[in-house]
Amino acid sequence: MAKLALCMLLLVCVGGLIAVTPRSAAAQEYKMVAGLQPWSAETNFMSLPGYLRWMTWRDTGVWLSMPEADRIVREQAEQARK
Amino acid sequence: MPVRFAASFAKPSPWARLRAVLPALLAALLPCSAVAAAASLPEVGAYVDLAAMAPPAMAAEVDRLADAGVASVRLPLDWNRVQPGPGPFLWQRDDAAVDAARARGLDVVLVLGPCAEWAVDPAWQVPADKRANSLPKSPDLWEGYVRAAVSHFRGRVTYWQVREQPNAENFRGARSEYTKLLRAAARAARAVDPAAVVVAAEAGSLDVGAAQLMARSPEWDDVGVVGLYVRPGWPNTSASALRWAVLAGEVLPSAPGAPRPAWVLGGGADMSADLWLQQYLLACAFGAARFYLPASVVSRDWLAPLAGLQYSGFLHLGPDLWALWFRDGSRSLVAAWSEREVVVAPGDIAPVSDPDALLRTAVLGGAPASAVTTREGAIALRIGPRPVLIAGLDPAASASARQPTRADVLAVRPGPDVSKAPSVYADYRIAGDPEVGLYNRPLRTLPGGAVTEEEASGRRCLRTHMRPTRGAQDADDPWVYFDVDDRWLYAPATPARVAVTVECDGAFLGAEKLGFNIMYDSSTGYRFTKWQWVDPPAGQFRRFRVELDDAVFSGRDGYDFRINAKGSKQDLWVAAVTVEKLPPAPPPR
Repeated sequence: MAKLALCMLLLVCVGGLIAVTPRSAAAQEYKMVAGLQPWSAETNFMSLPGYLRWMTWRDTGVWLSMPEADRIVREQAEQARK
Repeated sequence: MPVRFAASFAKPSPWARLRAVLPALLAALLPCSAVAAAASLPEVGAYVDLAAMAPPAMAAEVDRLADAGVASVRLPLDWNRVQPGPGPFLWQRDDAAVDAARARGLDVVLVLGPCAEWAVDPAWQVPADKRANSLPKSPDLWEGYVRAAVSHFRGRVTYWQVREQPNAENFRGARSEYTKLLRAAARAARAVDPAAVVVAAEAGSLDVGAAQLMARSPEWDDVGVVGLYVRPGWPNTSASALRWAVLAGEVLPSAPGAPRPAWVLGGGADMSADLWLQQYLLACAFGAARFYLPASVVSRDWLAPLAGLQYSGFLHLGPDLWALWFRDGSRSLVAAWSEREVVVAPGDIAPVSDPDALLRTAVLGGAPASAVTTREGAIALRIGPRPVLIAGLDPAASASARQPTRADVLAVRPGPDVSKAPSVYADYRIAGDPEVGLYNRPLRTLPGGAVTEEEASGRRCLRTHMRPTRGAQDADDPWVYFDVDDRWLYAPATPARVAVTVECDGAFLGAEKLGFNIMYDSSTGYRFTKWQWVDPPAGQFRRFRVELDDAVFSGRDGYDFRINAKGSKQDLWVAAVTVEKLPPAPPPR
């Protein structure tokens, strides 16, 4: 029984590790989040920089820092105004 | 005469019987512009960090590359190496690398970047091992580095590339921040050396939409060379040929000012030798001026068979056989490959004029294998993903070789032709093949896109997989990716107006618990539509229609749009999606 429990635990751990590893990450440009409503469903209830960080990680495996994401969002907003 | 291009070797056409007279017939019928003029092949270069090597290894590598036939090298001028702190510049190692390459007659392109770690703003909290991918905190620091570099190498280096492929991995900044670096570099470089030429590096891979945007931007004046990257992962040769055809045949020729040469700067790290050769041949066909390979791929065997050839035109465009004519004085050669292993009779490609020469047909790229085999007792050619160079074909047949357009490339796409359909759709009620010109099934390995086909309320649907458990949310699959058939809409250069209709089941958890928006490829990159709630009752399928005014469907990252249900508290069940074209918007009053 103990062996079975250990196997189950291992399976759960390995499964979890696989599940949180982004699949087929490919280098891409950042998605344009300017114009989305922060703290709403369309940003998964995150700030715009937070949403950009999360989505970049899911798409490419790259984690931006919060200040970097904040800077990029401001750049995108400026670009959107042009 | 696109019929000639659409011919497939798997299904011999009646044209085969006319082949003897076809060249003369085509020469008489085709407009002169359709027949490609013979053009020199792209100069082959190598990218390598010579300055990081010990002197003996550097000298040996330069000798190896020069002996293999490369014409130039692309070297990183690592800002961290030449200026380890905010003080003087140290050029010794890069001087040695540049001088060693020039001593063997190699032209040198220097890549400005990556970023000096000390120049990154600490307030950005960039992890230490990622700072080189960031950007300098002040334009003055960047311009100082560029001025110093161009001044130091003036007379030895003309071409200056701005950063290596500025994608999310290599460049932790917005697209506009890259263009600011590009503009600052161009101005600083030309202030020191008016002959300096700036090479702009694309972030994507043969990204036609981004090239079009750049060509229409004020920064276009600062671009001397358009730098491109190729990559593995395109679904087939046709996908990259289409990008080449539109880029080289439409976007770059229509850009303002003097024509800018296009260089292939590199490709994916995991590209096979077969793919490198195929991409080189496509670059030959579409007029790239230079083609840079990783130094590890360069070999004499790779380059020697192609030396001195001139490209004449395409003879066959896939899907089973890609064949290009080359000339070398009186000699004619055909480079050919197939996306799958095929055995073809040489006469199916062109009339044979020299059977002895035909026997010398060899596999390209360092594999001294013959491609000659027999089929039904006659000489045949075994052709697969590794290109072969076919000799002994009648030079007169090259008159039928021509330069392909977007339409030519699209005409040979496999699968049903939906180009004239009023709309494309994926309706999972349809048994067998529910995806007609709108495809999700090949895209389920993309990040967050592992949706499943399941029954809901009596209909077959695509189901997202939201994971509400804390800690598991980042492993959910909230995205339903779609790719629109390129024959129906491929709009990288001119944004199109389309409407997307999503038919999905209602929520069972209550109001404002389930919703989605559309993230789509636009002229400014991937962007989002407004959020749409899908409220109760469950079990009733409803349609939601959204209009996109600036769709740039070019499969930039392998897809055109995705339904984004992240933010929902339950799974989204999508029964059908339809995309229709809309008439152009009326001009603003």
